[in-house]
Amino acid sequence: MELPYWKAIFRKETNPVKEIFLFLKKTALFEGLPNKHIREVARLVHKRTYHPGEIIFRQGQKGAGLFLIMKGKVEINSSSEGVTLSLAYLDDHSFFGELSLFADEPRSATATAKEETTLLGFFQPELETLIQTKPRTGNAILLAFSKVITKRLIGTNRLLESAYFRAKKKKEIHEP
Amino acid sequence: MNHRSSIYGKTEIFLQIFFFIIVFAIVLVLLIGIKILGIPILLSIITYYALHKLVDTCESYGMNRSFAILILFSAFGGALYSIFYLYLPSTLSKLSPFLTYWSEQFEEPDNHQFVEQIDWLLRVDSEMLQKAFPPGEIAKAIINYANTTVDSIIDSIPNIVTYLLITPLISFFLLLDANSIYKSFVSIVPNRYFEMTLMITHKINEQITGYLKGLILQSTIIAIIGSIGFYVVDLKFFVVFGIFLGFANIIPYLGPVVGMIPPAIFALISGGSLESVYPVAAVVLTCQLVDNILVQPTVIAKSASLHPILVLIGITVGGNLLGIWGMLLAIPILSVLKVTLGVMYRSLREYGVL
Repeated sequence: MELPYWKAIFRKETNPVKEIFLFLKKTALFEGLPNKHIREVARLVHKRTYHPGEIIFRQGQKGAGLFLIMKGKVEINSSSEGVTLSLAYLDDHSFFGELSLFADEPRSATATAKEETTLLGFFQPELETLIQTKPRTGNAILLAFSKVITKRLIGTNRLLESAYFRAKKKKEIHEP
Repeated sequence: MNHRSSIYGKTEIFLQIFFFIIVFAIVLVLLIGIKILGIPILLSIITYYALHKLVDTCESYGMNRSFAILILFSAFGGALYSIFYLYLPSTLSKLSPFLTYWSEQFEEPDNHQFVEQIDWLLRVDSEMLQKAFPPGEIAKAIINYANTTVDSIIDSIPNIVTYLLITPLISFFLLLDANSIYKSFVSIVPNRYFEMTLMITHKINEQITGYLKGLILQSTIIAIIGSIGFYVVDLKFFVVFGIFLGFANIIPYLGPVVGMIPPAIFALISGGSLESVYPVAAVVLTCQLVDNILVQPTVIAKSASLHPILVLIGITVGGNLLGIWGMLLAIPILSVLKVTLGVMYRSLREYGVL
């Protein structure tokens, strides 16, 4: 039902922190963490909206932290020597850009919103604030991040390993 | 339906105009507010930067944030208020009639003690110089100046009381809600510059916190050494003069001179001769030595140091705009601006914007 104007002006939005908290609880990154810790993160993250085709960050640009996809789709691609490679299509509850949270390195890929996308940004200053003001939460978050990054590293290692063995096998077939 | 949308069109235009009028009115009120509340707002920002790390630390031990701020405020405020309310008014009320009495004494031609001192000080031999700058007139001018200074300090007491009430209030909310204020500020930054803005403001914050913490530490050290020194040379109200010296020390180059004026005048009046000013000068000089050799190189960041000419311009402009408060706050503001610009310039270059 459409509200009259004066009521629409004073209509209360749903509590953004609560909405973010409920979303974060369902993400792989914060799964299993106590509610208290997730609520602290929800208080600190930045909610941003991107239009279709809008670049979230560019490869080579200095980054400040990671993004979680609350709603929408994001494409990750990398360019090198004139060749652009689409690395991944990410959707709700995925996250990207986590390396910039811990290292002052330039972004290794470009992220582009593919549709109307809502992201939650969690950046270096917020992580620092959390570690300083709520050390327990900070530790729990750091542990959660390191688990996820380790998982990704193991995956990358496996991929490299299998690629290496495949290449070696191919070489053996061609040069008996 | 068309009729309905045309009504909505008109309503929308009306609402838009209404919205902009409200925004304009708020900006106007804010501007007027800044003129009236400029000093308490600046003081609150300084208090925020000085205390927020301490509040963070308290919070990290599991203390509720507002409780931590209240405890810190009671501790600092209690000390400050007790000095201002219990100590200063009685000092000033004792000092003011004393000064008036002295200035009246100078109206009488019989009293020449001070005139002789000035005469001796200037060592005026030439008759022409004596005619051009009669020592009596100079002495009178000095006493008049001292009188008006004390009067203006007394006049500004109601202002100081207002500031002492408003500053903690604004500081409290800044310390409590700075994160959400900051979040709503960065939420209006376009996506393209968002990450960059976050990192730049973070770096600027760190630098300002470091600088202001250093400044407060420096003032406190000088105030303590000054108070002890004044106590040793047996000057009355040594704590008030020590604190004033510490505060004045915020102003580079001119600060020690400004800080020396009240205790020197007091020593001159109570001692009755120029010799009684020497111990005061010695204390101020010792403070300066300690400050320049030990405190400044370790406490104040090099990135925040200003060129003497800039200091002079800052103090003049600040003094013109906001009086004695402007003079005191000009240098911290300029240093903060310098640090901010430095960080912004380097970061914008890093991000390839400049």
